[in-house]
Amino acid sequence: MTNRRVVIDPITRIEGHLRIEVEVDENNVVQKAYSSSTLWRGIELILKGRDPRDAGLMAQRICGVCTYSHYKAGVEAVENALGIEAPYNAKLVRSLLNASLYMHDHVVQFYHLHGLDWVDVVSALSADPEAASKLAFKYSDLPIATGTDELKAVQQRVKSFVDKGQLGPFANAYWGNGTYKFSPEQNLIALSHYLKALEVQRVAAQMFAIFGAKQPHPQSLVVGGVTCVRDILSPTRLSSWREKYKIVKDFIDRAYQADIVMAAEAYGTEESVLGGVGVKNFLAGDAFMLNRSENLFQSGYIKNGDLSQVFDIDDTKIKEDVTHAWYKGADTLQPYDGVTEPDYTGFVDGDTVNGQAKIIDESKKYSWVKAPRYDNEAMEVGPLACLLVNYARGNKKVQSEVGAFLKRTGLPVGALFTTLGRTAARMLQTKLISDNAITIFDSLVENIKTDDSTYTKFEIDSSKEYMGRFIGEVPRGTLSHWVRIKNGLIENYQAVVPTTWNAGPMDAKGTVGPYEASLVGLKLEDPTKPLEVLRVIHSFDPCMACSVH
Amino acid sequence: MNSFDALYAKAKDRVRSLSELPSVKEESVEQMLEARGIERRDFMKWAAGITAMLALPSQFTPLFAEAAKLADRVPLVWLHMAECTGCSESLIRSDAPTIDSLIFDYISLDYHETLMAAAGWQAEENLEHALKKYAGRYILLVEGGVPTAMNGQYLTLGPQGRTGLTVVTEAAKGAAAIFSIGTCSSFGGIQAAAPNPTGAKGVDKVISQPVINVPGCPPSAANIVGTLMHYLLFGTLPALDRYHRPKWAYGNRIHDLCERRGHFDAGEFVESFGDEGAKDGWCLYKQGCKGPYTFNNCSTERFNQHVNWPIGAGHGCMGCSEPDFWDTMGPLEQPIKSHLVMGLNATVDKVGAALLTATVVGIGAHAVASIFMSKKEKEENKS
Amino acid sequence: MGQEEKYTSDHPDFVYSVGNRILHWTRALVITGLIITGFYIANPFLTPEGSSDKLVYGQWTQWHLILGFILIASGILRIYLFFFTKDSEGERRSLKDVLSIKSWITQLKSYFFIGELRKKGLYGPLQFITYSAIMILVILASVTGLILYVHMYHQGLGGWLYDSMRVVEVWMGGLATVRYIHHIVMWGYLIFIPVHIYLVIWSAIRFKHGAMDVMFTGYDYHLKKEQEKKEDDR
Ligand code: HEM
Ligand code: HEM
Ligand code: NFV
Ligand code: SF4
Ligand code: SF4
Ligand code: F3S
Ligand SMILES: [Mg+2]
Repeated sequence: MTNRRVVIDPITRIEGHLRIEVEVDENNVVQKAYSSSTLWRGIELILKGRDPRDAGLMAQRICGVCTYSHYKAGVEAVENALGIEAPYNAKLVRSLLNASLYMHDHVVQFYHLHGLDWVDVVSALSADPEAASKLAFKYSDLPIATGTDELKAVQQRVKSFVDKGQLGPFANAYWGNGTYKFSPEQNLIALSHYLKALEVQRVAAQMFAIFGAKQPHPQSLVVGGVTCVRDILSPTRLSSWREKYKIVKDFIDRAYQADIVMAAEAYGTEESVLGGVGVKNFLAGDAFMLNRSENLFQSGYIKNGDLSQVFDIDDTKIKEDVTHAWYKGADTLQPYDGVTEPDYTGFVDGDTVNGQAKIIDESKKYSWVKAPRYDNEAMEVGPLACLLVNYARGNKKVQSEVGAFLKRTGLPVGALFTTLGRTAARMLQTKLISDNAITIFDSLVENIKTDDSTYTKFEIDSSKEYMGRFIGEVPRGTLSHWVRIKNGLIENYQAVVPTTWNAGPMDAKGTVGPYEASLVGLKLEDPTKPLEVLRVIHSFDPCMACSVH
Repeated sequence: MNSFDALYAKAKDRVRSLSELPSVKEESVEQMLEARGIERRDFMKWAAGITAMLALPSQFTPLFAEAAKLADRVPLVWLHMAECTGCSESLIRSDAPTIDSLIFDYISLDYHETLMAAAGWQAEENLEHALKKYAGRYILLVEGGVPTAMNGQYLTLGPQGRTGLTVVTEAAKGAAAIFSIGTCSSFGGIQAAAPNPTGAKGVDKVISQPVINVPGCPPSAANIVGTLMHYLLFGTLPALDRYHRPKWAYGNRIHDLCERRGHFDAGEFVESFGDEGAKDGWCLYKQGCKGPYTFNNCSTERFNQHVNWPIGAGHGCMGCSEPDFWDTMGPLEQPIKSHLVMGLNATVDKVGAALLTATVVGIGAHAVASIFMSKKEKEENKS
Repeated sequence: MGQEEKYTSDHPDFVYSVGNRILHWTRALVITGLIITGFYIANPFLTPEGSSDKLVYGQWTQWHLILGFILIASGILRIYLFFFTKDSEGERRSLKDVLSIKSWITQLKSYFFIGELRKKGLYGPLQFITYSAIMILVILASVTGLILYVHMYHQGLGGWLYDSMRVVEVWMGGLATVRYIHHIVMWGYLIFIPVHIYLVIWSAIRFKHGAMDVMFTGYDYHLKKEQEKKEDDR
């Protein structure tokens, strides 16, 4: 029997437009996988010829989910090109904003986007709220939103949906799939946190807006510094940040962490989440200035899952290949000279397990995502990569946080190299950031006692040519922006984005990227309802608007 | 009948006709409020808040509460086109305190790719089902511009690879009302900025039905919710401005109600980010604030439950609720007079000064030549 | 050429009515004022010391608006005079020159010292176009200025004009573009004025027609050539 094709389009509960296709054999085991994004907007071309100071705000519109990432990247790439250094206060504010962003983004991703791959909403209805309430203490000393009456109310709320077949946004999902492993009580706890997280994310966004102006799409960074000088000099604003921070951190400690421990327990033997790492090279950037001497995370990369060696990043080895992407050009190019010229070839008619559809012809071009390579190798980026690189670097904070988690769940280090590990890594990263955000805050408070500068003046010399880049960590992994400036205007602009690294198609040599590699070998219970695929892909936290731009 | 009475009668009528519709949800909003422990007083407070925001007299508050309770009769379909999901993110920040979001649960959100559990074929089924079952009744909300170049193929959706253009056109057919949420769906947005490589357009440019634009990049949650609430109460289009934006939200300029306006009139400007003026909250006009040309209610509503807004955080407004603002308002941190001239690195003032210099030089040359010529003529005349 | 030109006598021509003359100088003053205040509005360089109660910027804007309305009023009057009064007969005749390629060439040549300036009406085609261009600038400045104005005062005239001005605003591409056009118009004036003054003086010297005083007295005292006189006499 030949392989059968499964098409999943749209992949929902992500940002943007993603199509995944897999070929399964007679045992429903994935043999090949293809990842395609189906929207191109051309933002790199739109940035050309603009004032370099506009790069941040325009690039920001690449994505409203990791909303701050491209803003900061655009601003800092231009600063790098012009040779400007923002004042210490500005750097701390940027770091603090980044921390606030992660605390928001990761919580929403786990609960509202990824969560429903782990939590069977329908099963939660048969739970005993009292037992669930007790059970919650197993995963946290101080559980949140799991009082018996609270859980009852949650149950009631969902029951009225399910009983009458009115599931709203929960309709027609893959409930009841055998790879859902939580007990009804565990499902109920997680479901209650799903609702609680809706409230908490609002607070996290407020916390961000204090120095960011608004969330999504902040507006308080400029080339040379930050503009929110009144906010950082205001004791009320500062203490308000602290209060909101406490609420969000509380949720991360008492709910997010607990739920991942619970998932590690329940899913520890579930085959479909114990693979999922096909590309074993991991790349990470610097992030989170804590004070003048310390960053929370360091950059570097590891190869073939070997934690004994970490390498430094060499800019010149980052290149993008477009052999199977809908762009013209045969060479792999370094982003400073990168070209983005569309060359759409579309899909072909084909047969799938759900019937006739448009499908990918993998011998040709099949995605708007480019294929970034480091020294010709595919790399996985994201929280998992960040932790692994820092673990290997001997980063004490990371080692102890990861160590404690492994000890608590009884899992070996190898368990990190899985879908489950990737999802756990996101929580661990959030935890590390939320624990350390207060250090950034304290550094800021300390510094403004003697220094209130927030901006460095600069000139752009039209007769000069500049080039510069930003490389750093954002919620989904390593982001880089590359800019050339000529005649005082942007001459070329390229973004190489976390999801581009992870979701890219094959390259000229046939090397596949992390998404495509992660699915091979995955067994599906029912190929017409491919929950397992969603779970693996969601563990990367796809953002297609980012990946393509 | 005066206009107030007419409006009131209309709203009452609407509430009656809503109540006659079958409920999409089984549990009513009333039951839901009860289950969530939200008191009538809080609920009425919220209704009063919405009434005030929509600039309606307080007599409308009870009608609003009534309409909100009937929200379970209104199905929503939310489509994603060429966008960044910032507008959806803005929506989920909604809170007043948490009633808005509950109402959202109750306005049956039948299709929303970022939030829905189903994927792939099953998601597609949900969409088809909603368009069929609620034909003529659902509200269509669109986030994102519609690529039109290359027959719309810069965006395809679903297993059949249909273009965004096709999907939005079909969904518009049976919609009771269509809202473009965000500057992308209202006016094309970032992808429509020059040179607009994908031919992205606002929704109203690709369909023939009337569209209410709720621009902003993103619009505040208040503006999204308010627009929906207005529709719930009146069932008709609100008063719209020339760009089809609801007047209650986009009737004033940012500048009109800006907290820094006093400093503008006084001539007190931030000369450089982070200077003493910046610390004192002076006007950001010279740092490129586009508040004088931008119609939106940020200066009063702000963002994230009134926590802050661009001008509050010391950055000028960039005009994000205006058509083509990326092209007409840039460079964003400079006043309009320094607008780029046809993409060249020259600004109006520079070009103007250059032309003026050329003119003066020309005049000088002409004058010198005149003197020279008249001497010559005289000499010629003598000979 | 090269032949002695023969002038017969002093010959005063009545060219500008009192109305036109007063209007001219009002507008010259008003436009100068608008440029100065407009320049400040575009580029506020003065900041008050101490108190925010001195509405410095507000006052500049207010003066700009007062002058703006004078400009609008005088613009309307001027258009009226051009079309409907007998005194402007000469100006209207100039239209014929505008439509004649020959007189274009003649005048252009004259600026380059080749030959005389001959025209049927008051202005040569170049002059006519320049002045019309200024009229267009006046109209543009007035319309864009009014659009900016209706967003500042929502009562009275502002309120009354609001809806119709917004139609024009949208048509022009939004308020930012309107402000941009308004700003460019200022440059139009800045460039026109020196050219205008220079040409007025230069023509007077070169062609021996009355100089600056024309705009004061309304009469063009100039020497007529014999040939011209004969033509006139016929
Ligand atoms: C040196 C002094 C000046 C002289 C002798 C002079 C003379 C003239 C003459 C002969 C005309 C054509 C007649 C007419 O259209 O009414 C004219 C038109 C005009 N002048 Fe002047 N001008 C002088 C200075 C200025 C200045 C300083 C301004 C503005 C700031 C100005 C603004 C105008 C305008 C707007 C028109 C054309 C519109 C019109 O009235 O039809 N002039 N001027
Ligand atoms: C020769 C005629 C005029 C000139 C040279 C002129 C010049 C200017 C300039 C340079 C600006 C600043 C624009 C910028 O920021 O780039 C301005 C603003 C303005 N002008 Fe004029 N203007 C003229 C006529 C008028 C008229 C007729 C009106 C209407 C009554 C008017 C009303 C305004 C208003 C309301 C503003 C905006 C002020 C503000 O936003 O605070 N202007 N003008
Ligand atoms: N991939 C990606 Fe982003 C992130 N994090 C950014 O650069 O999500 Ni929208
Ligand atoms: S309007 Fe702005 S926030 Fe909304 S989708 Fe478009 S770019 Fe994103
Ligand atoms: S900051 Fe902007 S909107 Fe506020 S007064 Fe100044 S120019 Fe107007
Ligand atoms: S930039 Fe947009 S968010 Fe409001 S203040 Fe200006 S309209
Ligand atoms: Mg790129």
